[in-house]
Amino acid sequence: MKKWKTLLFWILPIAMVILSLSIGRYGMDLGTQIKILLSTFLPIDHTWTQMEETVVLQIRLPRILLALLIGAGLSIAGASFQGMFGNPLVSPDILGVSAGAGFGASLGILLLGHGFATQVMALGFGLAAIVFTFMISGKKDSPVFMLVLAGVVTSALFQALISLIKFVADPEAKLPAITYWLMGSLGTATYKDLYIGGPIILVGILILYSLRWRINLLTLPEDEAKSLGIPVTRLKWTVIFGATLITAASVAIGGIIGWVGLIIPHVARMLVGNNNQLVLPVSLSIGGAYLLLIDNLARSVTATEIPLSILTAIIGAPFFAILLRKTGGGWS
Amino acid sequence: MRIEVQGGNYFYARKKEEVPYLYQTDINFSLNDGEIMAILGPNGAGKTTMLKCITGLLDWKKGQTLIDGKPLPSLSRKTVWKRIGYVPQAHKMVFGFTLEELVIMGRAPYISALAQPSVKDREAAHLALETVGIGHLAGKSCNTVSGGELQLALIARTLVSDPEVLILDEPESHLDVQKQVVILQTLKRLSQEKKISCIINTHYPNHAFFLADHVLMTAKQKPVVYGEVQEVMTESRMKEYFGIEMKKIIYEEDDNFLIETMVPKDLGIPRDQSTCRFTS
Repeated sequence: MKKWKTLLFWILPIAMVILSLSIGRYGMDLGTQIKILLSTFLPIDHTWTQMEETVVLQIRLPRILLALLIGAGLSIAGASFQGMFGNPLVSPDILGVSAGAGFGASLGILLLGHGFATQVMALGFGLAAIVFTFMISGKKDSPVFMLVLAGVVTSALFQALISLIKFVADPEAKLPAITYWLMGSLGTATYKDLYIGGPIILVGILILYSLRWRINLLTLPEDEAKSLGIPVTRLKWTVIFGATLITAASVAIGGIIGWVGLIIPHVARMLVGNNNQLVLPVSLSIGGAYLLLIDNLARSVTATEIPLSILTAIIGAPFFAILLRKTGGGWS
Repeated sequence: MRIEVQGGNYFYARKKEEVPYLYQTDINFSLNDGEIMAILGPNGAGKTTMLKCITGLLDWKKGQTLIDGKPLPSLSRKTVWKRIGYVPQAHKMVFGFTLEELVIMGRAPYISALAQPSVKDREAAHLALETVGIGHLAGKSCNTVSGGELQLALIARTLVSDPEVLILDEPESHLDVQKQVVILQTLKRLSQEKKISCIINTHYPNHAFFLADHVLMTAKQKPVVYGEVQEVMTESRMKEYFGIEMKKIIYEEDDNFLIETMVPKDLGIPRDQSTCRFTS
């Protein structure tokens, strides 16, 4: 990849973070909020109000960092899965993790309301879903299509359980909360979310990022991959493990955020080709910036927050359609 | 290196059911440096399965593969796949990697799990592409080059790990005649210049005559035969194994040039067209 392109993919998310800090109902000029940001590690004279500092550091910053992290995470997970399954249609929820985590969260809201315990339940059921998929698929070296079918079964089951919970939930208090949450939002994001979910997502990202070249090998038919002397089964499950950490933690923090993990890898491939050595890092960059953009819109376009999945699709779909038409898919 | 199979046999297990072995008699053969063995047999005779068993992609249900006298399972996976190169039949890929990216994959046994390919690996890939004569296509997508070029690239992918044996599953069967010649000549050159042995599945008797030092022939309900080309590839054996009458044809231009092949007798054209026999 050319130097200027690499630089661009570094600048994109950073510029988006700075831009995002100044977006919101509490107006502030760009200079002030950059100064506030720098003051956290540089000695700078306080020329701003306490209110401004709170808005920037306590309200906007954690939410921005989470959007960046979740967007980047879901995108690299999607890119890895598309490579591993040799299928451009899969997204990180293909093995049932999102549905499982969604069920965990719904159950949590029903029984306990919003809070830390609910997030733990979401994470727990997300991980349980992958174990479930693994058990249905038979054995650890079963073929990829068995894994996908097992994932479909797991998803269907947990979706049904989510529906059941919605059905029994109190339509005045609980049902809206569950429904809203299932559409994805970072409206309640705090540093606590960042400290708990952040490391989990980062570990997942790190695992996938370091395997980026090996994921190229996984796109080959299984015997061919084996004949290149790599431990195919172990590698496959390591990728699944990394992607599951990211997906489950993302759902636990921000609810189910669709589309990002599906379309961003495509955009990345259209820009840099099919080599996952490039596709994965570029997905991180674009994915983070994209979800950040979406979240900015979610919190600033109307007086109430708009759920993220609605925006990721409404903005993502036409954009993706244009790209598809222009490049004819770009993955061939 | 010497690759050897002793008493190999296989079956696809079904649950709680006694299944007969796939091959009527056990497989025995040995190949030395630079020797080429062709495997012939009708569809469904288990030729691809045999290649998988030889390389350890499937485990023999009985018998074993020996590499320089050592049982294959006793060697590490990386060691085995540095020495053995497996060339599948060329196929379209979902994601079109460039030929360079495709060939670099062959370096995998030399690259540790978390590492990325180095400049050295890239150079090895280019060298291998040059060796098979398609260095100029390194940047092309494997879904836009021709089937023959992709097949050559797949051969190049095995060359980057410096293999001593190539295992090829019908590498030429879907190619046009000119590409077939390129593939076969490339293999013969590799066996002579680099002393790489080859085990190749083929459907073409004349390819076996051109390439092979040894032939292994198999068919359902028939014993596995292994031996010199001339002694295995006879008209009577072809009739027995393929169920069709073949005529051996020898074309001699001069004392120094010879073409040997076999064609089905049913494809011969009688002088009187009205007596054309249809056996099927």
